[in-house]
Amino acid sequence: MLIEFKITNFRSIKEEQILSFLPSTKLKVRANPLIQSAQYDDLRLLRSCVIYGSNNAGKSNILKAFRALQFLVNTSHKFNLEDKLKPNEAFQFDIKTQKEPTIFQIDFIAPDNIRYNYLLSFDTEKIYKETLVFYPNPEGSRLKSSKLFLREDNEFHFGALFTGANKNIESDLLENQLFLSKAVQNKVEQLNPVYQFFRNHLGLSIFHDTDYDEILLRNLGEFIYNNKEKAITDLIEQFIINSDAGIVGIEAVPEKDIPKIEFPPNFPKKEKEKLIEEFIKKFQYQILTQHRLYQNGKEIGLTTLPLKEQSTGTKKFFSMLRLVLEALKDGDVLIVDELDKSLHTEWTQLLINLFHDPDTNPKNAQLIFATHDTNLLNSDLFSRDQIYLIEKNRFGASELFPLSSYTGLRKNTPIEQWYLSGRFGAIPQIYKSLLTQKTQNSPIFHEQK
Amino acid sequence: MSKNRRRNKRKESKRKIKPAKTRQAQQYESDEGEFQSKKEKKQNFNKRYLILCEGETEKAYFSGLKNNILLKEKFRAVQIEIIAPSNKKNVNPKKTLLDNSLKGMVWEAMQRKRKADKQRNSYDEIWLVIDNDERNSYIISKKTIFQTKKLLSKLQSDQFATYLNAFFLSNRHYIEFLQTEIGLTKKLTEEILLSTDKNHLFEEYEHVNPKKQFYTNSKFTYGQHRTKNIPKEKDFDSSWKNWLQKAYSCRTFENWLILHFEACKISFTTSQETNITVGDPSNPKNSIHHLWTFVPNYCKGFDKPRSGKISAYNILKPQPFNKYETEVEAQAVIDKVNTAILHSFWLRKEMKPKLTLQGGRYYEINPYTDINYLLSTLLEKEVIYGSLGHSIEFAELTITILNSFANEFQVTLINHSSNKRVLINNSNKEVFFKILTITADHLHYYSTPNTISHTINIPPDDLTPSKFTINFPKKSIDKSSYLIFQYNNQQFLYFPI
Repeated sequence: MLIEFKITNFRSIKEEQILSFLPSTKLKVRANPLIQSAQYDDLRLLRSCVIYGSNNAGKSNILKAFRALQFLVNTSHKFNLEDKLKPNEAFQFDIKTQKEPTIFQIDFIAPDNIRYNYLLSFDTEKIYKETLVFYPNPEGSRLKSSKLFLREDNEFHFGALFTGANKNIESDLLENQLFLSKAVQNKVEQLNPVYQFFRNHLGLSIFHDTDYDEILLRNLGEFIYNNKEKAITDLIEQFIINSDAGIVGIEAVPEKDIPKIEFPPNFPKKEKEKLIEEFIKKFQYQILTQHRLYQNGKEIGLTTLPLKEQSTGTKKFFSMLRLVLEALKDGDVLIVDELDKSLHTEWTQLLINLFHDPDTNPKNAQLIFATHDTNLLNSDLFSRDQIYLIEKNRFGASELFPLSSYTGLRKNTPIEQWYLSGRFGAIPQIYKSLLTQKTQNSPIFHEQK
Repeated sequence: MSKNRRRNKRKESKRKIKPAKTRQAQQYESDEGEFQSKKEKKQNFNKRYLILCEGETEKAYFSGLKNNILLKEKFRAVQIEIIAPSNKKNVNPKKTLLDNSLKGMVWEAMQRKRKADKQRNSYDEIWLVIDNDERNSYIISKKTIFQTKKLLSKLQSDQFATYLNAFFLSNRHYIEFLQTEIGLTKKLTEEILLSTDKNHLFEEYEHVNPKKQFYTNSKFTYGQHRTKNIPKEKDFDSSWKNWLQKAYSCRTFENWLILHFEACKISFTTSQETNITVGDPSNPKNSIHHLWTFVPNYCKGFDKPRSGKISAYNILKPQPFNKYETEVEAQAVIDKVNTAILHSFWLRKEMKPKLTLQGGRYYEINPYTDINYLLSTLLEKEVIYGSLGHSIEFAELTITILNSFANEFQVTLINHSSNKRVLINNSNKEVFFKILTITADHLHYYSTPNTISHTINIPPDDLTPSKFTINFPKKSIDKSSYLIFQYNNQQFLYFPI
């Protein structure tokens, strides 16, 4: 479970921006119940956060920060000496920050139900600082943070409760590798829950790309065909049948006609065959949807269509359903950019409500998503501390703030209308009258002789 | 419903029982600054303004300001609408408005307010930007000449006709003209008065029973088709004078624009670009022409790139201006607007005797403007007009200024604030005194006081008046100077010295 994520000097983010799942104290009535932490009595968390902002305000950068952190934890142990730390993308519109490190700080509850706080400061060359703190004793008088490890440049300090101190790891560790990744690879069991949180409990869907969507669906096809998890497949089918998608069933079949893969001309033949074989194994499945078949106005049976013939929205609904259901199943944090993209607002709300209802979300999965669908603002779906707005200030830096930071809002204030009329900012301010004039007077309409 | 209420009640009582913070929680919080709730920077939402303009020129000016790179963050909720007869086809006539008469604009404001209130997204302020280009005047039109022909002798009538298109803002001016220029008798004057074309929109606006205005005058139309869109009585908001604010200029918006460049009180007669002789920039009859002496390529409406003409907003930038607005340009615009605000105070002071003569009817004097109040509101720059020797309440201060010698002022200040002290010295940017002088050739310059010997500290809640003296260089002050006192980005003016 995510508590807070703080981001400094990353892409469009200059000063520290905080995405917090902690509730605001101001709200008396909530749109959906808070998560009560099992271990920590006083810790209550939000079930979801939604981010609004104009194009290019930095919505995706908040989400990409999760991806960057996850990437480093998952793979940095494999880095070679000369590898650059690519996820460092310092804020570029200020001479000072261009050369400063990126800082991520994440406060979370790992699968062992313990609260951890992990801080990372790095640039393209090296890790400057890496610390892990935890809160081991939720009960009794010793409820306080305790250091596990602290790394500053390549100096290490270990906490009394850390059991994995190991000179070999320390001496082998390159400047561009995370101690966390390296230690877990070297079987430091104590850090495994933390590593697991990043590796398996942060679900990310932040690319928009038709090819990527296609791969997701083929992957789902394989998932269904091989009956990897019947419960999830059945549930996806139930959602599809009962959400008015005009579909009465789904199945997956292997497909002969798979997309061609291009290889460089002198790619070794053996490797090539192996790769193609693997690719086919993974991606040869396509999903078919079943529909009622009629004759003379009478239902006579079923017919099938390949999913790829369906609308973009239906395809998106399929891939989102899988991500959502898997997140619910494991109590993950699911991070989605443009959840509403191509989806009807009713479908979007359906997916969000799955997270909000404790009955459908017993494992306390959390959802973070960026959207432009302002309908959601008036739908009583969110409390004001769940709604984040992001905008760029005039220096080009993103600022993230919750709607609950506004004072003087009434309970019945129509948030959507207020947002759209510019009262909260985070909306594109377009110089419409000028553009109309420029278009009207443009040479494209007045050919020059 | 009742079940819900009960449940909420239960929740509430639960909350009450819960102790404010357990010791455990306190300790928890104190650890490395971790909190159990969001850290939130408090902020206020943007105010929502509606500015209704009657033409493109005003729109170009205000939408330019709205998009000014230094102001735009603050102006996000400012909505600028232009009201002009639309020539677009296929627009729903009920939704578009079409009458940019004063009444049409007032009516439109009522409808927009009603809609916004209904959506619980009310405007904080609604402004009409209007001018008096023949909206309230006696006009010697062709019709007037025709109608008066039978009353006048041939000679009188011919002489009268040479004044075609002349106008008079007030009854008094017109009578004076008829009696002295045409040489009419008192009785004839009165008859002519009755036969003269007359607009009295502002008079109605200010003095006539508002409801009567909308329902007895057949001239008022709403919508493109006069007959189909008779305003419904239920849509009429009789409280309109309480919430509708006007930003007025006489004769035209260009009078306000000129104040950005100089303190000017010429009575221009027209702003019609078509009626002027190009090449005669000294023609004082035309406000556009006068504006051309400062910016030769000013035009009404928006920029006209093909002819190289520029709009009411872009003329405020150093020329030529950039494709995108730089911060230097944006600041230059703001400085000019501030100058115009000061100049309009000066103008009203200059026009005060004439205004008194007309019994306070601002629409009968030329020139006149109060657009500065709209700009002060938008720029959050409050300007108060004061005079030497009188006490004025200003923010949390009471201030009195006496002029003892030509260059010396005695200031008495009382600080009513409960927590803020006031520091006065030469380097403090929050509070300062300066002299603004407008010279004969309309240049203005500022001068700052001779060094205040030591910092004056006026503590909060100090009801004993603090007295001190400030001096300015002698040569910086003449008859056209004002003393400006500035506190917290609000300005305070004193006239005259």
